[in-house]
Amino acid sequence: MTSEKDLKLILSVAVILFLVGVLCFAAFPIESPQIPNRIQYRSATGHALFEHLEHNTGYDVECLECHHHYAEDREDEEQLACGACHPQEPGKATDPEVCSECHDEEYYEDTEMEARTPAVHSQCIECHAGIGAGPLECAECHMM
Amino acid sequence: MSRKKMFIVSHAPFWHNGSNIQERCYGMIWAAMPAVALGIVQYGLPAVGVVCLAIATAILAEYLMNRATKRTVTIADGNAALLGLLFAMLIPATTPWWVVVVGTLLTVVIGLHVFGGLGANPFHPVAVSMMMLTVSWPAFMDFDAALVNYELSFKAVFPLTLAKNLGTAAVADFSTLDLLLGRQIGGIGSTFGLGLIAGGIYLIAKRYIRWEICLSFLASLFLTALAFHLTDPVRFAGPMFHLLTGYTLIGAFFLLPESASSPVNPVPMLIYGAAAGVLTMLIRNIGSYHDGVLLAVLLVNLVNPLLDKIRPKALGRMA
Repeated sequence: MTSEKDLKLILSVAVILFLVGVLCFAAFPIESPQIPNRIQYRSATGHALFEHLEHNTGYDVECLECHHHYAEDREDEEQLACGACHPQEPGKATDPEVCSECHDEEYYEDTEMEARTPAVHSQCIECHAGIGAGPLECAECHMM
Repeated sequence: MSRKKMFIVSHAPFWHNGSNIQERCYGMIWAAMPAVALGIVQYGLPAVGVVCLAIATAILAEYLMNRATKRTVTIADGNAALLGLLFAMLIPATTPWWVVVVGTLLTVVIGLHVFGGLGANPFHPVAVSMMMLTVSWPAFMDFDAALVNYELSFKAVFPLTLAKNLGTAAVADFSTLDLLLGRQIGGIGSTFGLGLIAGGIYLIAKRYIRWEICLSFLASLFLTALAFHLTDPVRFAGPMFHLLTGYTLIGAFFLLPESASSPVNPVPMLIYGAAAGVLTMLIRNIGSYHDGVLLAVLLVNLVNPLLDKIRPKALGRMA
């Protein structure tokens, strides 16, 4: 049995906690860093967690080694994500504005861009096989 | 008939140690504080937001349910606040606000009040809501996905995911000391091993929870993990790893010994805890979930009424 005094006290605490909670969510949202720390590729065959920052700073992989075909004068933070050019599903169009930043329309209008999944696969596997380090087998990246 | 006389039962010997639901709930909240504090230090203000919103929503939901069902308002007993806090301790600091609100409502309304309120719930309310969220929105309950934006000073991959997929070698970086100090990703209040153990010892010392349940759970989990490890040391991680990762410790001290959903006699308590430990390891090592504690809690909650049938023999002879 809650007394009237206790009821008021607990309700006041609840309202204060609610306001603090709302304030934290509104004023301090989780922001993605300009250079991602980690990227998780979600897949029905198991999600793959890519240590993006670790590759960049820990393994000294230059941005342009992966963010290929891109203007070299671009700052590190301004590199485009894989999905900006490589569509998530095969055959789907990519953002023409992204393409036209570097190419004339005639250059890419009949081009079918490689989808993101095969693009990322070949990028990772070729690099790992080339340097003889890093995972090569499916289950080493894709975790159920 | 006056309300007081309704609860007069048979003759002595009975004694009361002076504790009550309120003291027990606030005692459990205090016991959880070290683990929550480390979560807040690691994940910052987003973790504060999740904890505050979950506790507030739980209290307000309990109040509204008390009013709607025309029952005595019980929010001052601390049970709603405790449930909100425990729910917040299990989820990632980046959980969206609406998932926090929905999860807390599921805890209080579906997990608790649908069954009749405190003391009538057959399952731990937080385990019920967590499994509902895990099935409904797995991406939000995936620690690897939820915490991608945090730059942490330790390996930011959920240890049980690594162990399940890549075996013992992949978790060699997680030392026992690291796990005790909370240097692993997980829920806001479920990773700080030392804090949870300290809280658990406090709860056992104050007799808010029964040591039989906690220790039988931890011992059976340890022995089952050891058996798996000895069978195939490459595939199955060792017992200390399983003892200090995932929801093991929070399950042992804060979920399994919940009074309404756990047995009342010592022998059933030992069986209940031991069964939960074995189930947890079976789910972790050969099941499809990375962490089996919540499912194990629900499964042993389910058999709790059967276990309670194991009773000491009554003195004397039947007429």
